[in-house]
Amino acid sequence: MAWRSATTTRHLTEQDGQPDEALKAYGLASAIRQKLADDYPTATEFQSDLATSHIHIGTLRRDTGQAAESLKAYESALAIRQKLAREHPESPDRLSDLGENQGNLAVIDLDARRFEEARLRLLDLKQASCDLQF
Amino acid sequence: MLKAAGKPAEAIKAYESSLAIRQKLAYANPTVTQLQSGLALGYDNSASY
Repeated sequence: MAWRSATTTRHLTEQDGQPDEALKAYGLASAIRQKLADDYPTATEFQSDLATSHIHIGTLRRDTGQAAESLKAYESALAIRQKLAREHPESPDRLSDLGENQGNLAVIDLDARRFEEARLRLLDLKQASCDLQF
Repeated sequence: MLKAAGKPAEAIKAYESSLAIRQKLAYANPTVTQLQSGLALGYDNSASY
């Protein structure tokens, strides 16, 4: 399974210089997914989709220089994905998502020169990668 | 596909058409979760095309 990276996500901001429009669209998607996740708390798909929305918003925020908001969005995704990984240890997708999340957060930490925090996140990512191989 | 073919304007138009359909379906069927999820995906696509 290939690691997915939020850094490969392309937004309007990169292509057309419309980050506000992109953020608005991601926000609408997130609101729908939040409601689905709230209405169906045991449906892992909806929880996972909500985390993905947080990742999209976090990456867009990061790409537009809003590190604090990006961190907050990534941490929201992390909380969901940690819970899903705990509840579904048999699922490689859940572990892969968690690794992706730690990679995103590590980039934020590196940008802010929080090297120790980044190192710990990358160690988590490495562990998740090792777990996926067995 | 249109985007990959170097036709971004056509790609945007296709995404917008898709989003309009998803909106209509989701609004007409608010209890069908699949359609709500589809609308969310449509918004994602509109942000990233």
